[in-house]
Amino acid sequence: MTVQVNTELLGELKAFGAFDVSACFNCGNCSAACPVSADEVTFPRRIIRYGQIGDREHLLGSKELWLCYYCGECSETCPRQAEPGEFMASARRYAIASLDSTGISRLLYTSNLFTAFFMAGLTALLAVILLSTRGTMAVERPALFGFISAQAIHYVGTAAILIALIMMVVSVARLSRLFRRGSSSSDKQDETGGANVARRLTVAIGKVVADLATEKHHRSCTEEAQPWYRSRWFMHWTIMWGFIGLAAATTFDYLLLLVADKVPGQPVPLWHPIRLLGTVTGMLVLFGTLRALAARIRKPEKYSSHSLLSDWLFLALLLVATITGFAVEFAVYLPRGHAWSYVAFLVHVIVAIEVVLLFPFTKFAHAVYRPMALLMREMTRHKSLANS
Amino acid sequence: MSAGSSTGETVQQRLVFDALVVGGGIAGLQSAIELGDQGYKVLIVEKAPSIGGKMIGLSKVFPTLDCSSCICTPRMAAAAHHENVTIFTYSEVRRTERAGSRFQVEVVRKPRYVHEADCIGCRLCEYACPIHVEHEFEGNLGARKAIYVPFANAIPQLALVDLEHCVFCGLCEKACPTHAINFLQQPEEIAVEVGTIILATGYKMMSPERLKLYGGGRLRNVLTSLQVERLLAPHGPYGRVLRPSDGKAPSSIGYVQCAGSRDQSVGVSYCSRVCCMYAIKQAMLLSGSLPMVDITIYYMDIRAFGKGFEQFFQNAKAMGIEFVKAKVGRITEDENQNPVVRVEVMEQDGRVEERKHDMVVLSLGLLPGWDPSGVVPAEIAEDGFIRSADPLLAPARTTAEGIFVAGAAAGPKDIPDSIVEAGAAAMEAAIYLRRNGSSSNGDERAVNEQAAVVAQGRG
Repeated sequence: MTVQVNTELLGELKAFGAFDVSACFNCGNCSAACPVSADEVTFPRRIIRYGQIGDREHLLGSKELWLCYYCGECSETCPRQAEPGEFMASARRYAIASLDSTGISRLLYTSNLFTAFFMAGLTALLAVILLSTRGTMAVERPALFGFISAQAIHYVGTAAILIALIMMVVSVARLSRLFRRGSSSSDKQDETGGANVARRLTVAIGKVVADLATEKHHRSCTEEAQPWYRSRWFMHWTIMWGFIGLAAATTFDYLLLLVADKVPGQPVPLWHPIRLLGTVTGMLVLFGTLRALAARIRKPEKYSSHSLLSDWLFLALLLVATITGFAVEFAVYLPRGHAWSYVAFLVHVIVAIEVVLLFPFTKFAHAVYRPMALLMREMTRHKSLANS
Repeated sequence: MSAGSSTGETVQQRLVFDALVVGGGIAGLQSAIELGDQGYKVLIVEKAPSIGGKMIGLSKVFPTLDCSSCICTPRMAAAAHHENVTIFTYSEVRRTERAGSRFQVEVVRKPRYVHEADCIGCRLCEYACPIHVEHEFEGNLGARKAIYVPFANAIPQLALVDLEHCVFCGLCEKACPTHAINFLQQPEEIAVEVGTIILATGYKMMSPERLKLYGGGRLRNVLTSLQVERLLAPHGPYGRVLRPSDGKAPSSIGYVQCAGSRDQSVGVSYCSRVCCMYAIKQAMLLSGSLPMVDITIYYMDIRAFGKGFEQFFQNAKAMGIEFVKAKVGRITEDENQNPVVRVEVMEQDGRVEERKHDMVVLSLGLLPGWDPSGVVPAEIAEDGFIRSADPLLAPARTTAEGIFVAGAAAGPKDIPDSIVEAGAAAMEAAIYLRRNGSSSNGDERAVNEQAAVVAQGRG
């Protein structure tokens, strides 16, 4: 495939982070130092090369972008101090922005002013819709759904999930097309029967799920000697599994409404399985987000040295959602209703919906792109092994 | 004369020379000999217990593959026996003050705990000493005693005591036939007046401890290039090429180029100039001593820029030495202490490979050997090497008038270039002396004869 050199791509990428890969002399130290790069899956040097020559197609179609955890070893040992790790992070931001066809993601990453107005507008809009049901703040007992009706939350939430879902489906379709074009020709030669593909796919999915569940590769990124609960993979693990747990708790609760005729807001004991799941996973998210925010503030390692507003946004929303979530949980066990609990409830609902809505537009989208890239790696690896 | 070294007290002396050469490596020796040949009185101050610098420890030199000691030892002897050259080994320059066109210099002679005038270099003390210490000269691969003559062809052949490891058992004192051992010796300050100064302070190697991803100096079969020089030297620590962990003759050796050169992450952005060539040279010599060995050189660029260097490189390739264009990112070891290097091979689709060797050699970069700040009024440049006032037209001149620089003190340099520059520095120094009225037969003659006597006693 011929590639047209495009000198403007580097400039575009620079808007998404601080780095100077024009200093890179392609020695390959970064790829060799990287604990995740292995065999024919080589990065960051290859990806930097795509950036240098302006090969946008290959850059966006590189599964390698999503395999990097940014441990920072490449940046620390780069002989030219060209910040390969930061380049990978910036390229991921660029990819998220490029996969989103609305342009909102690009603006969130590159314009702080836009982000401020966008978030303020979205929050105001959601507040107006939710408050339009004109509920009351009952004092004699906590009645949260008397303040904002369960139906309003249901409809707004469903709309947000649908919007995010449609956006993600479009982006995923684009990314899989790019992946297929980006993968080398040798990967495509192997055209065996459908049954074989299905079997390979099953094996690959199994491996990806196992990898995600245990963060096996993330843990292979070497770190300073520190206890596991202070490590970076555990921080990420708590956010990821905490979030999945919260989503599951919400889904179960909704299913219970449908199946068991449960009334919204009906008090359940603290040891109720769904409540318990929500509490435990909420604590995981709280721990993870606080650790992540602390890392971004204190910058102890390379990976946290540059943060864009959009990176802060995601963590901040998660933190606010969890804290208000716990406030609400605490409030429902109080004998009386308090004004602060109703405000916390409103904030909690708004922020939770915003987290869902922003899914395709912020770094949160990696939760879909990364497993896709892992799957891609497993599939191509399987093929090359079968061929050899 | 008695220099007071046996009385244990500091004795002030005042000596006068035309030139002071700081550093007794190959560049310093060359400068001193060339000035001495013109009739100028020269003092060499060397911090190590022997002159010869780094070169005397090398096996052979590129691109001619001549024996290094066979070239260096005659130079050392020529300087040591030169009637106009005085050598203070195991000594350091502590302070310099400008006095008109001349300099007042304070030199400190470190105590050897052996009276130099009495020591005959018989080594009976060394044989008697029960303490074994890692030998710096052998790259810590061999052992020496706590009282020792620095190495076989050291000049002067005088013993010294390593007080850090000495247990004061007194066996050496009993063994010494001339009763030269004196544990009460003190450092001795000597005031010297000189007309000019040549800095030939050389280089030191990048420390492997600073290269974290290369094992930080903890992997036993990852050697430094200077250690391999010793392995290859005819009188080296093992007498043959073995790997340190288990004494196995390596059948596969990897060379890691640019280990601490052209690497801003360790603060060295320059090319060290000699590593490509010494790695190729060592690879050739290793192929000679281990006929079945496979050698791979991992490099970023091969810089074979000097006369005869490119042919040397082509010869190495023709000999079957493998050159892989890749910067090594990581070195680990397997359960048998075989080093494993991790590289990105860029040919075709490219892949990250882990290659196992029996032994890996780090082609370490060159760092400045000495910082003159506060001691000699010469400036250093951003890279830490001594700054040349005019790198194009007068590379041997420093920014301080009357002070010149030779060899690797001004920047990484191979032996031929160092010798050429040493000659240039000697010439610049001679011009400076003549311009400032120092003739080569000045009235200091009498004083210097006295110094020559002092130096003879000490070597």
